[in-house]
Amino acid sequence: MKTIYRILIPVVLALLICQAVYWLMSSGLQRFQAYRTPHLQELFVSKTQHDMLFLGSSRVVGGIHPGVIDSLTGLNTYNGGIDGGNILEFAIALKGYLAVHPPPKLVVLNLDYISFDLRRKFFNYVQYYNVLQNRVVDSSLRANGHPVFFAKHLPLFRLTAYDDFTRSNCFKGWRGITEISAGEYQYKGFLSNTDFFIEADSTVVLDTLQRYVSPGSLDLLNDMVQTCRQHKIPLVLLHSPIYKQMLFRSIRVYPQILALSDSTARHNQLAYWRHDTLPLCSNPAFFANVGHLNKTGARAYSVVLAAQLKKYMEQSPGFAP
Amino acid sequence: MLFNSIEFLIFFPVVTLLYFLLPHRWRWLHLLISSCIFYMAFIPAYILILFATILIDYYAGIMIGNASGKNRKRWLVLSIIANVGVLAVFKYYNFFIDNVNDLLHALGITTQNLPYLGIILPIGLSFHTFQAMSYTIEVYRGHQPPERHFGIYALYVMFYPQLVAGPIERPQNLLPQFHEKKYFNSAFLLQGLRLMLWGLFKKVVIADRLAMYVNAVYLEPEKFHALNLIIATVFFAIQIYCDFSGYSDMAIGAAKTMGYDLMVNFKRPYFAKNIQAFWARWHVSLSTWFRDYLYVALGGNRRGLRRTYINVAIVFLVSGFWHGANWTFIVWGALHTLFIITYMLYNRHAPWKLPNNAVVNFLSLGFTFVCVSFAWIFFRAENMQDAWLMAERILRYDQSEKFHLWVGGYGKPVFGAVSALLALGTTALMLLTELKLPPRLELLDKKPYADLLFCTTLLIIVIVLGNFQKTSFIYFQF
Repeated sequence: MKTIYRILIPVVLALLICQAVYWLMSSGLQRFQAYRTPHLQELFVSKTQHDMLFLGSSRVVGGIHPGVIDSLTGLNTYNGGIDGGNILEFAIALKGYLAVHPPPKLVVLNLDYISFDLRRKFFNYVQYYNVLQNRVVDSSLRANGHPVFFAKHLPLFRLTAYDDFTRSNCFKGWRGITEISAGEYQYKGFLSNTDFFIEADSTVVLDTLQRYVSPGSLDLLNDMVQTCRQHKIPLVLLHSPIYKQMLFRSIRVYPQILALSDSTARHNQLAYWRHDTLPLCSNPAFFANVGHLNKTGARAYSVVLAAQLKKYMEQSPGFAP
Repeated sequence: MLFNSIEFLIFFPVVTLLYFLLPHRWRWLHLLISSCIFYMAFIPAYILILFATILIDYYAGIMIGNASGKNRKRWLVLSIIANVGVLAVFKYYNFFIDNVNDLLHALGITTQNLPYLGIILPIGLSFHTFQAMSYTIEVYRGHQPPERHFGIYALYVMFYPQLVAGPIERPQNLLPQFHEKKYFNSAFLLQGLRLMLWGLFKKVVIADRLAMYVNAVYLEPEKFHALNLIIATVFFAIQIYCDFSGYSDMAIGAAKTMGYDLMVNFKRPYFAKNIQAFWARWHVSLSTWFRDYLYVALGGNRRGLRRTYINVAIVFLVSGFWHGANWTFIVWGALHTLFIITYMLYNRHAPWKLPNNAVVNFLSLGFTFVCVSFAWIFFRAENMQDAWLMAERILRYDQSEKFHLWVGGYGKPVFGAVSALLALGTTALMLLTELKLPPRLELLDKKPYADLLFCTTLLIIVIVLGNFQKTSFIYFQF
C-alpha cells in the first residue's frame, strides 16, 4: 500500500466516523438540554418582543418566575438567566439579545457572588455552539479564546470542546434523561429548582466557595450600563435572595462585591434592590440550599419582585403594558 | 506554543511543507526562524536570554577548539558559568533568597526580607541550557568538533521540536543532521505523524483527564481520605508519564517528518523491575546527561564503593534540584538516592537472589512502581507541608476525612464516573500498546492494515475523547 494512502485513509475515515459520532452525541446532548437549548434559542435567535428582561446566574434562572410576574404586572417578561454565568456572560446575553430582539422596556440585572469572578470566563461555552448565528455570541467566543471557525464550519470539531461532563450528558440524553428533573418545569427561561428545603443551618454553610473579583469585571458592568443607555433601556440592579446572608461568612470578597454594585448604581443613578435582606430570606422552606430558592421560594419571591416592579413602573413613565 | 493547540496545528504543516520546498542552503534559516516563532509564542523577550547564551557557547566552542592547555578549560568554565548563571538567576535566585530570609528570621538577625526578583522562569530553560552545556563539554573532551556555522549552532539549541522540553540531545547526534541534505521521505512522514498522534493521545486523552482528579486532590490534600490520596498519587504517576513521554513522542515525531532522528526519551519505564532499570528507562536523555557529565566527572564507580554511593547521591540530589527550585524536588531526589543505594546494597550483599519467574517479576514491577509513585508525592505536592501530610496520611491510612468517589465541581472540571471509565480504558489501551510495540512504533511500518486500524482508532479517540483546553505540559515549567 502506498504511504500516502496510509496517511490519508485514517484521516478521512476518522473524520467520517467522528462526524457520525458527533451527530449521535449532539442528538443526545440536545435531548438532555431540554431547558438550555430552547432557552438560548429564545435569547439569541428568536425575535420575540419582551417588555422586560431578567439577567443573572442560576439565582435568576431558578428564582424569578416570569409567569408570576406577568400575571401581576400585565407585562410580557423573559428570564434570560444563564446557569453559572458571570458578568461576561450577562454582557453577552444582553448584547446578543439586543442584536436580534426589539429593545425591552426594562432590564433587571442580578449581581451576586459569582458575577465578578472571571477566572473561568464561560461556565459552559459549549452551550453557545447552537447559537453561533448570533454575531455577538460568535465574536464574544472568539474574543475570549474560543476560536469558533471549526465549530461553525466543521461541526464535528465541536467534539473537541466537549468535556467529560458534557459527554456524560450526551449519554444521559440517549437514555431519555433531561436536565429538567422529574417534577420540575420550565417557563419563559425559568427552570424550577426542586421542592428541597434547608433542614438545619449547620449543614448548609459552604466553605469551598473561594470567590474573586476579577480585574476587568467592573468594565464589563459599566459596558452593560452604557449598552442599556444607548438603547434607552432603564436598568435595575438587583441582589436576589440568599438564605440568612449565610454566604457572607464564607465568601471573603462579599463586601467588595456589594460595594461595586452599589457604587455602580449610585454613579449611574440606577436603582439597586438588595433582596438578600427580605423577610423571606430567613425562611428555610423557601431555599433549596443557601444560595438558591426552591420552587416555592421562587413563586414567593416573584410576587415580592413583581410588587416592587409594579411600583417602579408606576413611578416611571412609558410602562404601559 | 503548545503541541496540543490550534496554533500548532497550523504552524506544524506550514513549517514542514516550507522546509521541503526550500533549497537545502536556506533550510537552517527557515528552521531557526520557525523555532524563534515557536519560542516567542510564550514570552517573546526571553529569546534575548536564549540568544545571549547561544552566542557565549558558540564562541566558547570555537575558542576551546582553537586553544590548547589550560585555556581550553578556561573557555569551558566560562561557558558553564554563563549557562549555570542564567539558571541560577532565573530559576534559583528566589528560592535561595527565600531560604536565606527564613534563616535570618529564625536566627533573629533581621525581620526585613532580602528582595525577591519579580521574574517568570523562561520556558524550558533547564532543557536548553543543559543541551548547550553538552555541546561545550563534548567539544572540550574532543568528541565533537566546534561548530563554525553560527546559524547551525543556534539551531542545535533552538530546534523547535525539542526546544522547551527535550529530549536533551547530544551534539554528535544532532549537529551533523543539520548539515546533511534531507530529502522528502513519505515513510518518515508516516512514522513522524503516527508518533505525534500517539503522543497527542497520551497527552490529551490520558494525562489531561487524570489531571482533573490529581489537581483537585493535591490542591487541598487535607480534605481527602487516604484512599483519595493514594488514587491521586497513582493517577499522577500515570499522568506525568503520559504528559512527558507524550511530549517527547510528539517532539521526536515532528522532527522525524523532516527526516531528523532524536533520541528515545522513555523506554516503558513502569515495566521496570527495579529502580535502576527504571532510571535506565525514564527521561533517558537527562539520566544519560547526568551520567556522562556529572557522575563520570565525579569519578563514577571507579573510586571505591563509598565514593560511588556519594556520587549517586550527588547526581540524584542535583537531578531533583534541576527539576525545580523547591525542597520538594530535593526530597524527591533524596528518596530516589535512598532507593538506588538500597538496591545497590541489596545486589551486593543479599545472600540469595530472587528467582526469575513471572510471579516474582510481576511483584518486582509492582514494588518498583509503588516506590516511584511514593516519591512522586514530593514531586507533585505544592509544598513540603502538603507532601509530608500526604505521605503521613497514606502511610497511616488516615480515614478521618470522607472518601470522595468523584472530585471537582463548583466551576472546576468534574472527574466523575465517565472520566473514571475513560481514564481506565485509555490507560489500559496505552499500556497494552506500549507492551506490544517498541517506543517508536516502528513495528507498524511493516503491517499496513494494522497501522490503518491503529491510526484511525487513535485519531477518533483523540477527537472524541481528548481534552483540548490548552493545558500546558508539566515539564515546560522546568
